[in-house]
Amino acid sequence: MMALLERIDLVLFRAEQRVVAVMLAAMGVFVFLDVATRVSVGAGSWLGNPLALGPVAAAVAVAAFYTRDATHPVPKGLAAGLGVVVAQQAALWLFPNGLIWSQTLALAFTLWLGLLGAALAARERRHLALDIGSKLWPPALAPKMAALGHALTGAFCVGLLLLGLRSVGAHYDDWAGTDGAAGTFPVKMDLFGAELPIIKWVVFLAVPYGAASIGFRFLLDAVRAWRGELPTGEDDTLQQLGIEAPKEPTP
Amino acid sequence: MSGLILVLAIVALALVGARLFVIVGVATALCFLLFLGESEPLLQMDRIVTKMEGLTTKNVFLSIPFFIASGAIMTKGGIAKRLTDLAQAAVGWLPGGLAVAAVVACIVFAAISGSSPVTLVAVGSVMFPALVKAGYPNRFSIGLITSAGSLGCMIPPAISMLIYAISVQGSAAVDPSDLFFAGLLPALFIAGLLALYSVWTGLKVPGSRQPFSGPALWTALKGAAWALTLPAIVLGGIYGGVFTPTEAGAVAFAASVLIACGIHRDVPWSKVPSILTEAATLIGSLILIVVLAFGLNDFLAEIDAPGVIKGWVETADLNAWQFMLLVNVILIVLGALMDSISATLVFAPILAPVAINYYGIDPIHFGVVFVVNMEIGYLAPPVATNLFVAAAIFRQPFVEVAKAVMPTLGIICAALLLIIYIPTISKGPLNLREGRPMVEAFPWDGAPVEVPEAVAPEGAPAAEGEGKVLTLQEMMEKARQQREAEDAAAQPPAEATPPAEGAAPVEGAPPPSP
Repeated sequence: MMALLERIDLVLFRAEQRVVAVMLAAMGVFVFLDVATRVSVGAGSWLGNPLALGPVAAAVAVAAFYTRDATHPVPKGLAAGLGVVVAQQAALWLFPNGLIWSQTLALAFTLWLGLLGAALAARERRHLALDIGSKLWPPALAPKMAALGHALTGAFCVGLLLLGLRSVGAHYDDWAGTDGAAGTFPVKMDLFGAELPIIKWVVFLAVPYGAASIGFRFLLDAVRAWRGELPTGEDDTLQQLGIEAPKEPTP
Repeated sequence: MSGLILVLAIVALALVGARLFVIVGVATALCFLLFLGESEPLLQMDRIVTKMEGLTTKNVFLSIPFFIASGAIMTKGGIAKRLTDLAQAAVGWLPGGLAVAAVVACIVFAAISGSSPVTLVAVGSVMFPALVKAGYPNRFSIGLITSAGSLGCMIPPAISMLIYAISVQGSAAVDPSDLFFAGLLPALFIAGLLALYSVWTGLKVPGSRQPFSGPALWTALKGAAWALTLPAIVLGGIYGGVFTPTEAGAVAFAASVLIACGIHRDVPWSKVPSILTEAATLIGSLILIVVLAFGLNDFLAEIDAPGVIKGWVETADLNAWQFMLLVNVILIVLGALMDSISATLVFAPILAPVAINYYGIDPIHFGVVFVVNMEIGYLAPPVATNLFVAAAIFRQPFVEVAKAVMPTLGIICAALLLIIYIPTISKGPLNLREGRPMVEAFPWDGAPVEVPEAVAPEGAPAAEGEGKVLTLQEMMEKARQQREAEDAAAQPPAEATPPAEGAAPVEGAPPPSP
């Protein structure tokens, strides 16, 4: 049974890893493109002129190729400068009004990113704890107390899952009851001429999903801790910080 | 009785090692249930989830994932080695040059990574062996690097500062970019004291200096120049008005990918997804605490916790300097018991209104003091994040590391006292930038600051939208309007605009968060 649950956990973990990487990259690219296009088209922005942007980009690129000891830094830099101008014109053609929806979309992604990241942190045991108990309990009791702590964390997440589902249900009713007229964020994504709404219940589904995934992992850890399979005390603290524990005995 | 149940629940959860987000979440839930949940307890519990969903309306949070991701990308490559090489070439000729170089490298690295523990790991693993090899005492080397590494929470773009600005916006308009600016000099001041300590120690270490070499400096500069452009782009862009701090996060993210993967080529493109995943894990462990603490903040605002604190200090008849001293003792204890983000989220909204409205402490100055305290919290046991990290990477017992940081901790505490009572250290550069007299006196007489736009009438119920989290642009605009109002108030009475009690909300403010 435990082996099956651990396999499910691994499959979920890998999927979540891919999703968060894509989301974070997309958030960064969209908001950066929004800034870049706004600077390009902004009133009085000299960078909007390809004749100004081209030489500046080329000079920066030449310096970059020079500092990394590349061969033929000047031709490569000029080519890169030309590439930047082409990219700028392409961005202005694709997004003539900029990406005003980028921050709204990125915020929607942030909720998913935060909850999925918290789920990943649960599997990697990166959630911070107040490391008081492990110093007080006798060694024989420490794993049992850790198991209790994980079980309580799991129980809290189950509560959050139920509350999250209630909320998603309400948002879904709001959206479905108005045929999509309500229950969306005010800004619509403008992708290649199509206006796509950002639906609230889809975004807020992050809360019950995240709570379920985090709770599942903490309940698994409760079992592992009960069996004495998890680090406790200082080793646990280091794992929360993402630091590898020293392999040699301390002097 | 309700208070006792709350305290017992928190202590019990801490004792069994429940994660911090659970402690914050349970504390929030119990507060709603025990103190406000007499009718419709389920609706009170729903507020927790509503607050979590409210994250989607808070633009200011966008900068946090971006800066974390940018720091993660930049620190994966050989940037620590590049920066330490540059610092050694630039200041290694001084007495104690290698130790001074460690301090400099920590500052620059912290500005790029935005993380104290990451700075400690990256710079410490390079500089600690070098310092010991050069003959510096073991304990000095550990203490110096551990303390200098904790400067990360003060160097822009500091996440602690962003969190403070968000936390106190119910009581004062704090522009995060002003806070960044105000934090620079105190950070340099502390770093300068640590550098002086290094020079003093270096004088007693034979062979602690290396001859200055122009070509070596040029080579090191060539290697580190692109890494140095990142803080320049971020700060230059914000203060040049090109982009907001949120957008600066996205620009830093894009620039860090370009620098680390395209120019330095320290990080292969194929590794970017795994670095982003790692960054998301860090974001996840942080954001869950933050969103759950929003509910707690709501509760504290609803029961008027700042008003209660104000009542206490009135009863105790504390002066401004006594209040600040007490606040610092409390913050250092809290910083030793909690992580800095949670401590800021929970206690800044309670303490800042009293400091600002009752004692006349400038909100930006108070923010800088708050963040320095949190920096000390990184070094104060039992939570002491950086001590755990140092014990692991230097392979030393925790007690040895705790003893090693005592001299540098003493220096930082002394610096904190100066920073508290000489507000010019934090506000001076900001005043100069805004064309005001540079010197700013500590309000020893405790005269309240006139903050006409941001402060609600005393004792008034929370207005519609009050306590909502504004976007960065709105926070900056609000801070600008407040500064203008303060300037107007400083004019002769005939020209001054009297602050209206219960002034109208800021124009253009968005609807309240759900």
